[in-house]
Amino acid sequence: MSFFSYSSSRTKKSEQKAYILFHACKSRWIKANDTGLNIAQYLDDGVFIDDVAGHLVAGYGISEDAARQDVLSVSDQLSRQHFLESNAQVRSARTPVLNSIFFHLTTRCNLSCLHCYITGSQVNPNRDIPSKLVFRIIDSLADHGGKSITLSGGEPLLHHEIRKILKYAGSKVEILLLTNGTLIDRAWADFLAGMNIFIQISIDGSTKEIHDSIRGRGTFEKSLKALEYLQEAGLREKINFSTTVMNQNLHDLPGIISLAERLDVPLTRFVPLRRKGMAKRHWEAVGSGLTIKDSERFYEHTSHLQKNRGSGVDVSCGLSGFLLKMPEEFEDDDIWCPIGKQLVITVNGDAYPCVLLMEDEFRLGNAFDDSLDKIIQSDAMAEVCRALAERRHKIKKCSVCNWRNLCQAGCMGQALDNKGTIWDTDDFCDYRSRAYKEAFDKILGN
Amino acid sequence: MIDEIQQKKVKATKEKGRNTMPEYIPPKIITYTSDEILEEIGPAMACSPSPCAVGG
Repeated sequence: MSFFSYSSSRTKKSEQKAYILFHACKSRWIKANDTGLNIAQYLDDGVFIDDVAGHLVAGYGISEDAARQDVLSVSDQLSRQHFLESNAQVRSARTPVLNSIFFHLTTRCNLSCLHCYITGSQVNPNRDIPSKLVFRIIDSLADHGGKSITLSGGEPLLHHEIRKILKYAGSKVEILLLTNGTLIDRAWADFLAGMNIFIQISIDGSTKEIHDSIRGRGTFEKSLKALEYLQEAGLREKINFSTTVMNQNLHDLPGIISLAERLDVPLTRFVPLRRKGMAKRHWEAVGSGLTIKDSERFYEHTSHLQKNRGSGVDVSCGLSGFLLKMPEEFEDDDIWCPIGKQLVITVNGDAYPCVLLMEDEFRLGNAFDDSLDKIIQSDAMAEVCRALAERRHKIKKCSVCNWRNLCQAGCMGQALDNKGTIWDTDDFCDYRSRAYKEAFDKILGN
Repeated sequence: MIDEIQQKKVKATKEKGRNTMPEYIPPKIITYTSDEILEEIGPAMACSPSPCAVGG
């Protein structure tokens, strides 16, 4: 079969039933009525077009011409969506390719946040990645046609040669700078203004009281001042807030969205707290009160906000794997996760496939010793790419789920964080499942 | 005469058969663009700005 079908049990008897036809292995789907489904099933069984038309003539008494025209039309529409193809059962696969690099430039940080997933997990607390290595990696990335890098830390602006790195990188690729914002003054803003750069500022509370209780006294004012400088320098459209969801701000998340709106920040993202580094050591303080239900309520809230507000600040609520259409940049292999297209490099030079998979079992090599080519072509990378494509088929509950080619078994890294293995779904499988059902039932007209 | 009656019977049977055939509703196949999905079910349900909570 090149597809399987879904219909809502809530269809009224008086209405003609509608169906979603899901491609067997791709994220593609179409909506069809009874006759459309009937014809699609015949075609999928390999019945010739004239014979399918014959069934319509015999079953409904319509003319041969009309029947043939309808069958051809269905066949054409199915083919355009890659249904009915002989290779429709071939599973998606990711061939590793280098598009972007995520650098942990330094372990230095001017703050000591209890929820940090990095600090506390490094052997040397004050270490920078050598600039020469960064330049070599950027050159190699550019040679591979890679387009972007992310600079993170610690606090990346504390790297002893950060200006040199920014200048060098800016001449070759797009930069995303992840900063707490407290070190950005007017001079820094002017320096960054001319670059091909996006800047993410960590904001963990909508008020001084909440934010400072997490990040330290005076940090709220400093971060907002940085925002002001950057906006005045012309970077308004290139800034976003990022918030880690934790005990202290769980009830303030709508406030942070409002703050972003008030301050004309175009995008705010919410990131799940990870039980790693400092956060693991201080879990009682930062994460013990978090429940899956709380996150689900927040997803509902952001969904409601966006539906009712139209254009405003964009909100990335932190839920991975909920999409009804594959974003264009992932259409080539139909896998939404960026694993296999990016590398994460730590200050020690160790390379990993994702910031959520920075464990020994997923280590791909070391950038001091190995070329990027060797790392990208490594068996370890091939293995993680295989897992990425196969999880939806091998995890039992996914293999029989209607939404498996859309969510693709959810986020592999979050599954590792939540369940201790990538061969399980993450904590939000049930929520996504309900959300998919709700969305498709709406599309089906129920 | 018998032939004529027989022909009428066949015609009536055919018409009866035709009348009991189900109504034909032409096939309808609908595909959606991202914009149409947004329009149908709203932005947050269609996709977050990025499908990945980590990104970077």
